[in-house]
Amino acid sequence: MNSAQSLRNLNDTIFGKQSPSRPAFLQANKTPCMKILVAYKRVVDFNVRIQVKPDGSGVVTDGVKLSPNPFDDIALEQALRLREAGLASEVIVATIAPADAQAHLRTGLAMGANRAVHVVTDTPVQPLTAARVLLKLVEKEQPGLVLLGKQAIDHDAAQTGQMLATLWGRPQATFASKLDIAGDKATVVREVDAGLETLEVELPAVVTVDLRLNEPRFIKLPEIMKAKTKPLETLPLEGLGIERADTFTITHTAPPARRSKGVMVHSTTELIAALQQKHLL
Amino acid sequence: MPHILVIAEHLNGQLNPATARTVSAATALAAFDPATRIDIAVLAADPANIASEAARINDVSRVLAVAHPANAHPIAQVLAAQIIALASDYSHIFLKRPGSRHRRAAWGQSNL
Repeated sequence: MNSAQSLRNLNDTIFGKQSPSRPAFLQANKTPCMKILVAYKRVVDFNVRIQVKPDGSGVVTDGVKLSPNPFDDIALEQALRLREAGLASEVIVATIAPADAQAHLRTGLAMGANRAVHVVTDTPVQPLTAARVLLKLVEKEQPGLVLLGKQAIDHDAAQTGQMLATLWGRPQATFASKLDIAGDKATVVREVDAGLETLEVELPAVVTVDLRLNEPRFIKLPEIMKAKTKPLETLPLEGLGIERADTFTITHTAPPARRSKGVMVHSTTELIAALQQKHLL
Repeated sequence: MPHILVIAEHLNGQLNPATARTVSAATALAAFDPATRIDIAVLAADPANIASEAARINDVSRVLAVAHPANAHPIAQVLAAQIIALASDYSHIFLKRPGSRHRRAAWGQSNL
C-alpha cells in the first residue's frame, strides 16, 4: 500500500466514504449549501409588435404571446451555471403574477430550476410592491444570492433589484456582465457609462444582470417533462402580510411618434445647408 | 411650494453635461410654480471644481457640495444614503437616469 492510498483509507475511516458527510469545518467553503433566488417575470414576448389601445388606456395584451423577461432568463441561466459549478445547492424561481402564470414557472423549471414559488395576484404590481414581496420570499428562503434581470422589458423601470437590496439591507451589484463567486464574496463586473466597473460584494447580496452576462440555454423536451413534477408553491399575495405600494398611476399610454421620412441630399454643400436650416450646425 | 434637488453627474472631477439637461427638465416642473427653487447636490470626494461648474448652470439657486472620501467610489449604497439625508428638504429629486447607471442604481434606492 503506498502512502497516498493509506492516506485515503485514513480519510475514509475518519470521515466516511461519502464526502458530504465531512464535518462542515473541513469543507473548502460554505457556499455549496447556498440557495439562489431568481426573480422571474412574465412579460409580453420581445418579438411581439406592441399595439397601444386606441383609447390610450394601455397596451393590448389579450391573445399576445407572453414569455419570460429576457433579462430574467439570463439571471436564471447564471444561477444554473453557479449550481452546476458546485457553488450553489438549489435554484428557486419566483414570480408575482395572475393564476394563469403556472406554465410560465414551468418554463423556468424546465430550464433547470429546482423549484418555483408563485405569488398570485390579479392586479399588476409596481416595483416597490414587487420588492416587498421578494423580501418576504428572501426571509423565508434565506438565499445566499438573489438574481434579477436588470429590468423587465415591459415597464423598463429597473428598480426592483435596487429596492430589494435596500429593504433587505444587503449589498447590491447592478447590471452585471460578469459574476464570480469565491467564498462569501461575489465579484461583479458592471457596465457603466465610463466603461466597466468591478465591485466586490459580501454575500448574501442582490445582483441584477445585463445582456452580456451569458446566453441562456435552450430547453430540451425531456426537461419539459421533468419540470411537470417539480415542486411549485402557490402563495396569495394578500396572505404575505405586506402593504401594496401603488406609488404611481399610468394616466395615458401613447405609441411613439412616427419617424418622418428622410431627405436625400446630393452634395456636401446641400447637406450643410439642410443641417443649418434645422439649426444642427 | 416645490423644491427640486438635482443630483450632479460627474466623473474624474468633471461635471457631466447631462446635469445641465437634468436641470432643464426640472425647470419644466418649476414652471408650474414661480417660487420653486432648484438646487444641485454634488457628491464627491473633492467637489470644489465640480460645484463651481454646477453653479454656472442657469436657473440653479444653490449648490450643495458634499465632500466625503467614500464618494471617490460612488457606489449606489454610498450615494443613496446621502441623497436620502438631503431629500427631506425637497419635494422632488431629479437624477439623470437612463444610461447613467451609477445614479440609476441609487435612484431605485432613494425612491423608497
